[in-house]
Amino acid sequence: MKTADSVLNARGRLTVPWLIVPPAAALLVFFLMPLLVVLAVSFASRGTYGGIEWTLTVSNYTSILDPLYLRIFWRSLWIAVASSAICLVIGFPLAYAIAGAPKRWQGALLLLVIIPFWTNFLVRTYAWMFILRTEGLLNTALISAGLIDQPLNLLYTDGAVLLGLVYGYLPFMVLPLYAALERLDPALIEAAWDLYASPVRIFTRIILPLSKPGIIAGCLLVFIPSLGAYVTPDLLGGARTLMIGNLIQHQYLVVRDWPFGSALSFILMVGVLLAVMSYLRAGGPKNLA
Amino acid sequence: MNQAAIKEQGLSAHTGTGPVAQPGNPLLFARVVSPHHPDVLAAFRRRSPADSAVRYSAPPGSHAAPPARLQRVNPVVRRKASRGLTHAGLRAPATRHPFPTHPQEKVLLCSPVLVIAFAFLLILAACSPSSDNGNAKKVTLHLFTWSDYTEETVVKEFERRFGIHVMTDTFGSNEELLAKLQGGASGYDVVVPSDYMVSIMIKQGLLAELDRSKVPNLAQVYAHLKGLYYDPQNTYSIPYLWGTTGIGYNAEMVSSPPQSWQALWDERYKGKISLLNDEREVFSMALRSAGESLNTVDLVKLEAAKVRLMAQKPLVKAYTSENYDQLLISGEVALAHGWSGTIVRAAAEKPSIKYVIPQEGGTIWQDNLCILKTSAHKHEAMAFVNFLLEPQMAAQITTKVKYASANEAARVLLPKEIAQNPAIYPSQDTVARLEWIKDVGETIKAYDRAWTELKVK
Repeated sequence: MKTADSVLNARGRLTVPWLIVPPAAALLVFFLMPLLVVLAVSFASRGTYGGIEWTLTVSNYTSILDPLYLRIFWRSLWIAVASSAICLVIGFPLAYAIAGAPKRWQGALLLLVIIPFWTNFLVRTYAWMFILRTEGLLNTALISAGLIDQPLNLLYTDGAVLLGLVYGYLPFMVLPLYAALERLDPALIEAAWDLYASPVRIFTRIILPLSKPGIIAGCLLVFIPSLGAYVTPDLLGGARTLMIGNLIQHQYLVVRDWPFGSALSFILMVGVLLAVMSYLRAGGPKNLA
Repeated sequence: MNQAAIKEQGLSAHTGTGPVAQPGNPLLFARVVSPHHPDVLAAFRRRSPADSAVRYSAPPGSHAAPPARLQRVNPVVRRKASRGLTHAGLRAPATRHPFPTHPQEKVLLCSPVLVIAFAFLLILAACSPSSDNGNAKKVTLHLFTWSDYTEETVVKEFERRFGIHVMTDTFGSNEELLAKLQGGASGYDVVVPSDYMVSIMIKQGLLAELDRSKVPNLAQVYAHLKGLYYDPQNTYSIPYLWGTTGIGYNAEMVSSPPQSWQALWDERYKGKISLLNDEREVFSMALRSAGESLNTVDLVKLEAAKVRLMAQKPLVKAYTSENYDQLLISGEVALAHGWSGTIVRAAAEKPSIKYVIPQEGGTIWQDNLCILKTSAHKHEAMAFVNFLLEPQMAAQITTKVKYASANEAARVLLPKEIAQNPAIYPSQDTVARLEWIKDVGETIKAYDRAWTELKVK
């Protein structure tokens, strides 16, 4: 924090104001301007063969209210919530175990969580396709173990999509949870034991409240990319049912209705922003360490 | 424990309602108060930033010490305290918690690990596989074509002979090609659109007029494949490869070879059917199965086709244009709606796979070599187009990708099992049943909408 102290004065203001210029410029060029382009296009009309005609209209937004599209939003929301919940259930014990491991092991264990990221996500998704398909690893193993007679229908189902999302985003849950649990004061748990608190009570009244910032951060980090997921539902879901990400891609690359795709993107972004804000407010923004 | 409870407990430690811990002599109180009293430990515990009750709350601008410094004192206090407790003959608190004790500062040590890990992620994400690092003098041609559609050795031969480097990018459907070009994907020189997409791209002004004197091999193209409806004078396009759309099936998994598109609606094959993930092809299949033209602009017929496709959807395992050959080979599907060459390739790996063009007929298509108006290397691009049409090269390509070459002279150079394969070179009778996909103008919006509805259902 030393460097931060010298850059910030006592009032928390920058002592070197021009330092703000590069990040502000980067945000302007790489974030704000593309966003404005998307916003502008979302009010344009589609040409017959795609492309953009600058006849202003709000029909792109009104057509989102079509039950057809609302259903996709609802479905994506459901899948994103489910994948966050599953990640939390799997990630919490994992993060707890890593945080409780001897100090010298923690780095290595965290590395193990992250190593899969060093392989391209697409390659790993294809690997899942090989595992899940009818004559894949899993079915072959189950059949040879005598557990099932007929291969299970695993690939190209909602379950496969959920599995792919949980697999893909689990590290995003584990890392913030680890950071929160690692900081948790063991003396509190000692005290609780000392006071004859049951393990359940210790968990619900000490560990859970104190790891709340990690839980919130982890859930957001899983929820947001899951909501806009595109590759996973396409490959593991067999392009049979769309999520918002696929619907947007569909508008851009298949039916070439860019204005509608832009309106969808914008609504998705506003929706995520509102969800995040209400989430943070509910969890107390100060708790997000 | 809810937040209010934490706050209450924290407050009691400060306001002196309980046995307040004095930083100077905590042991004093520890000895006289039962260790089971909550506030004893409250005084010794290290404060976590997550604990709002002990949050540093000095107003901005004040010169109070930052919270980190307050906390830094704590481990020492704690160590003394626990020693004091043991000396006093009190049982030390059970250490059943899994967390190692260490100073607060060490928390920061693990953050470089996280930072490095995330940096790796970002670097990996940012690394794009395509970058031309050849020497500056060497011209690089950018080819945008269908996946698995070019023969490596042919491209290598071109690079060797002409000293031009070729970079290949692939797309999965004509619509994707158009969308990417409209989206400003610049820098491509040669593209490979199918028939109806050529006519759209001509209307959009995307294609450059060809200098046919530089493509002498056009003379060897089958007469009936030249001057087709989409480009009557071959002003913009040179025929490259052509094929058909039909059903690939695994003879071991179906009771009788499918004769009709109706096989794709057969309940017995529920979950064993794959369809192309291609708007026009899927509607062509549905329209032809009802005996309609696959270029219908009649919205009622289109709606009927959509309803039929929706009824079919529960039977469909996947919509894919890219790996249905693998699905067939692995036994994942028994019937695959697909393109001739891809299924013939699958058949080469697994002999029980066959290809059939249903009796109602289906799509015939031709992919074309075109040069973009924006190409900076039109001269080299023409040389490349002409090179791909050399009989030797065309034969090599067809041998590899199993799609029929437009070059007539190439056919005699092909191995017999390819030149005589009716799945690759269908008979005249079969061709008579086939229909070209044509641009349907404004009606494409209705197709788009129907396709979206099908996918959403």
